[in-house]
Parts: sequence; structure tokens; C-alpha cells
Amino acid sequence: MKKIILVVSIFIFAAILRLYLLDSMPPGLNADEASIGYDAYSILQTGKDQYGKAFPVFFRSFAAYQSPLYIYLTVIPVFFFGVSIFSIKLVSAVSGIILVVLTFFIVYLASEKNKLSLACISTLLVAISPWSLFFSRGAIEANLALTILAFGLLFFILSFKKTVFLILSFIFFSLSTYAYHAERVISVLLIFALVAIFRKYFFKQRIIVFISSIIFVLIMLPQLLLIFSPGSTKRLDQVNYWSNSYYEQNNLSLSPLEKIKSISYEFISHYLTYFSPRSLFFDPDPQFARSLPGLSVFYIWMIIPCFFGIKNMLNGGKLNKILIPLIILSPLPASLTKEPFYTLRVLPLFFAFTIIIAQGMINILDLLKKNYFKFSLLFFLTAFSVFEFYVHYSIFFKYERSEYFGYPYIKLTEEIKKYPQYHFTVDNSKDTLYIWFALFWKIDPVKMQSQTKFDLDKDYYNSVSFNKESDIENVSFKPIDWGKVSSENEITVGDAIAISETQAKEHGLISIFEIKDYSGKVALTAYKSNFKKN
Amino acid sequence: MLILIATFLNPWIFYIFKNKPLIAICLIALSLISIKIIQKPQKKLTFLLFCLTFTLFLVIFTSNFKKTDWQYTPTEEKVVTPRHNEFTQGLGAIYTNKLSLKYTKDIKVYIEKYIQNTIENLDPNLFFLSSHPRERPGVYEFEKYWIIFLPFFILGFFDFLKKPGRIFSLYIVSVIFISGFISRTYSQGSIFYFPVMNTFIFLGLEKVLKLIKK
Repeated sequence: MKKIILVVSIFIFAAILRLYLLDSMPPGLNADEASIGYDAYSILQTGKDQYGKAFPVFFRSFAAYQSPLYIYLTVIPVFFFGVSIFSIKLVSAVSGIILVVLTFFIVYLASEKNKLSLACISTLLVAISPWSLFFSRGAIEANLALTILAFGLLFFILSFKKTVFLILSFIFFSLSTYAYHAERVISVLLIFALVAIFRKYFFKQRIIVFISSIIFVLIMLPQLLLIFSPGSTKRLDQVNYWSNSYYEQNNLSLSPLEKIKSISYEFISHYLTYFSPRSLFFDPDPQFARSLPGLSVFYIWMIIPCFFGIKNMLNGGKLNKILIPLIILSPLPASLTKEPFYTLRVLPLFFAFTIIIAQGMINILDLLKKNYFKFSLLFFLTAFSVFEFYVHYSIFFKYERSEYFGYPYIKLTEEIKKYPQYHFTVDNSKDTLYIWFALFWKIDPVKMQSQTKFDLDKDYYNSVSFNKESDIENVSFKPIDWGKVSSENEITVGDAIAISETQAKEHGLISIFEIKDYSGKVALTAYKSNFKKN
Repeated sequence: MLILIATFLNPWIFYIFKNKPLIAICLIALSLISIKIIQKPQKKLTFLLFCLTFTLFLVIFTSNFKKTDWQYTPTEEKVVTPRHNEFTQGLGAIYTNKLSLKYTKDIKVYIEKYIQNTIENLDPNLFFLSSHPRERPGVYEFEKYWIIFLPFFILGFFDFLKKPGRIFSLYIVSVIFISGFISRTYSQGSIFYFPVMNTFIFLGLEKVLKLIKK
């Protein structure tokens, strides 16, 4: 009974950490999250996305062709709670909570020694780890993908008791490919690896393996039919380091042999980065929207149990035989891209590492003889970690990165409403601003679709060019036209780079309102002509 | 033969020899001793290993110590200074008491710099790939080992983990500890890791040779 209470307490604790002030910490959405929200709203209202495509296999969004599952699932909270920051992030938060629960069962069923202790500590570490907390509190497709992948792992482990569970396992592995791009590679490789590792068992069940594989392929079929379309490959085209366009953009002229050397060097260096203690425990993801200032994916104290855990991993066992291919394969898709240490693409790696760290913790706790000391140490580490996360998330991230969760632009959507008689031009050089307005003004999707269809120069999955300019009600999103800024009913909005004080003076503009970011610095200024009618 | 390959077949030792020959000779000695110890622990060699390491550390630390290495850079100051207000608003009395303010103002920078120096050394890319793709601004990055030795290093590392010897484990912990006091901008790199890296590479080479002989 005590053990059940302990386990349930960890689940509740994880849920609180993920749901508490979900809509206001941080107080905003980035452009991708806003696009997810608007597409979900559009699907709910019309059965079509913002471009008028009915139930797409990939959502065009900003011509990056996002995976669809998160958007379709977001329709549910949008239906119940309306369009809001909470409803858009809820799917990821719930995925994060479910992942914590799944961790317990995966570790409990797969481990041989210290089953309950290891399962509890693994669950606790997933509940409090920065990577899990941070990505559970944003509208993050990769977080959903990881949870679905974890379902696949759970049913895979159950298939050793009843082989029919293998079918469910493959179903979930296949579904994860609809949640995030990286899983399209990870799931396929993982299935091959797991069946190969446990081949002695699965060879006897080859009919079930065959049926499961067919089901896996059938579920993936809609994606497979589009596999060579620009829509399917666009994301990879944008982020790789081996295509001709990459070399042209970087003014590199290499012979074929030099190219092979360069690509191999890049691949190895990127792959190794995902295993570097510096990346895992110290340096955050260099992209500000995907990381917390000064906090990496694991807390720094976790480096010690990590080394103990790696030693444990070499002892084998069913759990480690499942974790090892997950660790080796997860960074492969990310290593094919030019960004160093792109955390979203390797969440399965962090999941596996968290369980490894838990194994190391067990070794360390075994050095303490009395239970009282063990619980005290765990309590202290948990409290310290949650406090550290609070500082980096609720203080540093909120104050220093408010532009990355759209805070100034969301404020702008509220402020512009006070000036219905004016036409606004908002400088859009930094981001795809129209989406915040479409979302928070709840622009009729039919109206939006009639406008955006002109962005599609070819059919839906082949229209890879994207035009950031847009018009929504009395607002135009485009570069500033200095010829028009002095018009009577025109208000121009931009940051200090788009409109400097000197430029404003030169064009006879006066500031009528300012939007400050969370730290109090002016993020956007709205200018109107100083022109007075005689 | 393997000991010589592990110790001398890397650009790092020649780079150090070109700039600081005495330090290079010490490092070669440390490398040879640590490889001998991993093969067969001996009290005298262990004593020599630790003494030489700490002596070298004291020499390098005292001769290269710069106060500025333990202060925030101007770029870091721009980030850290506004945080006093952020902490005050976010933490209130937890931050604005005497102890917290003393810690933040006088102690925190040293702890952060020490952790930064320590953890940045624990990066395989630092040794095999000149820290690519996460090169550190303001630090001269250079290749220490040819990439061909990476698989042997990995093999040797895991081989060591399977049966970690106490003495060498203690030596690794000592190296990690003292390296944190040496600035990341030290021109010869994280030299105290030289014997450790060579030992792992040696173990990897030895393992591969055994497999080939089988």
C-alpha cells in the first residue's frame, strides 16, 4: 500500500509541475505553437487547415510541413476550452504526464534487479528532468512523439509475456512517425534493432512479427506515398549540410572526395556532441527558443550517477538491451542536420539517459545503509532540482527570452484593438507575425483560407516557397514602406532595428505606444505621422 | 609498441613540445606511468604519478593564473547584471537576504567558472574534433588526437568501465578536479587529460589486437 501511495504521489507531482500555470508560465506562444493552434482551430471549424487543405498528412504551416498528429489532437482541447494558450499546450503537458507513468511501467516490467526502486527513481527523474519539464510545458510535437514511442516500448516489453502485444507495439511505433519528423527514422531503425537483438525469441513468433510489420507499413502508407514530395523532404532540405544548395550558400567549392571527408567529419562531430557531458549537463541548446538560459537538458549533479549508470548498462539485462539501441539510434537523424545539439530531435536519447542515470542513483543509494539517509538525499536532490528549474524557467527564461515565446506580439494583438480606425503596418522581418493575430483574433478560417490559397504556387505538398507578407483586418505584415508611413491614418510598428529613433524623426513620426518585453525593455514601438491637417 | 603509439602518435604532444618542451616531457612520463599502472598497479609508480601530476599542476596554476579568468567577461556581465533585478522580483526575500547577496556577489562567479572549466574538458569533441561543432568563442581550439583513434578511445573507455581499477579511477577523479582550476584559455589545452586519454586509447588498441589474434 505504501509503495502504491509513493508511486501515485510521483505521478501527481509530475502532473502539478506540468500543469501549474501552464497558460502563463511562460506567458506566450512562439510562432510555431501559434500556427499549431490556428491549424487546430481551422480543422475544428472547417475540416481544413489554414491553406484550405482538407485533413492534410503534413501541415504546410510556414512551408516547413509539420507532422500532423499534435495538431489533430489539439482539436480536442480547443473544442472544449476554446482557442487559448492552455488548450494549445495541453496535449504536450498531458503527453509529459503520461510519459512519467509509462516510465514506471517500462522500467518495472523490463528490469530484473531492484525493480520497484529503479522504477520509482526513473519515474521521479523523468518527472523533474529539465528536458522533460521544459518540453512538456510548450506545444512540442516531439514530446508527443516520445510518449507514443514509449507506448511502443511498453507494448514491446509486454510482448515477451503475450506476443500479440507486439502488434500494438508496432502500431504505436508507426503512429509516432506522425508526431515528429525524427521519429520517422528512429522508429524504423529501432524496430529493426530490437527484433534483431531479441531475434531468438521473435524468430519463433515470426508470423506475428510479419503481421506487425505489415500493419506498421500500412499505417505509414499516407506518409510513404508522399515520401519524395518536396513537402516531405522540405525540412531536411532546410537543415542538412550535404546538399549542393548548402555548399552554394556557404560559398564552398569542394571536390567529391573533399565533400565525402567534410560530410563524414560533420556527421561524426554532430553525433558525438549528443553524448558529450558538456552538452548534456552544462551548455544549453544554442537555440534560445528551445532552451533555458544557463540550464542544459540534465541537472549538473546528474553527471555523477550517469557514469555509474553507464557502467551498469554494460552488465546487460533486458532493460539495457532495449536502452542501448535507443541511445545509439536516436541521435542519427539529428546528426544529419547542421544545428549543433538540437534537443527536440533527440528526446528519446534523453529518455534513455534518464533511466541510465536512475540506475546510477541506485548504485549511489546502495552506499547509504539507512533508508532515512536515502530518502533524505533523494528529497534534497529533488527539491534542489525543482528550485533550480524554477529559477531558470520562471525567472531567467521569462525575463530574458520573452520575444521567443511571442510575448511582445501577443501584447500587440491586444493593443491594436484599441485603434480600429487606423491601418497598421507591422514590420515582419523577424518572424511570421500574422499567425499571432490570426490566432488571438480568432480570424474566420474560411476568410484565412481564401487569402492563403494564393500562397500555393503549385499543389499543396509541392508549394515550398513561403511568403511572410499577409493582411489581417486592418493590419498588414510586411517590410516598412517609407513612402507610406506619413499617411494620415497609418500606424507603423517595428522594433528599434526596423525603425530607429533617427528614422522616425526624419520621417516626422511620433511614438503613440510602446510594447515592452517582460524585462521592461521596449520591444516594439508604434509610430504615427506628426502631420496635422490645416 | 602500443604504449608508444598511444603516447606519441597524436598532434597534441608535438604541439606542446614545440611550445613547452619541459611540460611535454612531464606529460610523456605521466602517460607512460599511467599506462604501466593500468597494466599492473605498483605502489611506487602510483606515488610518482600523483606527485608528478600535482607538481605539474602547481607549476602551471601559479605561472598561468590570471584574475580575469575568474571574473565575468563583458559579455557575461551583460547577462548577469540584469539578473539581480530578476532574482529580486522572482525570489524576494530568498534572494535579498545577506547570505544570498554575499553568495551572488562574491562567491558565485568562482563556482561558475570552476564548473565551466571542469565540464568543458569532459567533451570528446574537444580532443578529437577541435570542439566542432560547439567551438568556444575566445578559446584557441586545435586538434589533439586524430579521429582515427576515436574508436579505440571509446573501446578503451568502455573496457575500463567494465573493470575500473581503483587507482586509475582515483587518478581520473583527481585530474577532473584539478583541471577545473586551469583556465579554458590555457594555450596548451587540457593537458592533465593527456595521460588519461592515452591510457584509454592504449586499452582500446590492446583490445583490438587481442580480438585480431583470436
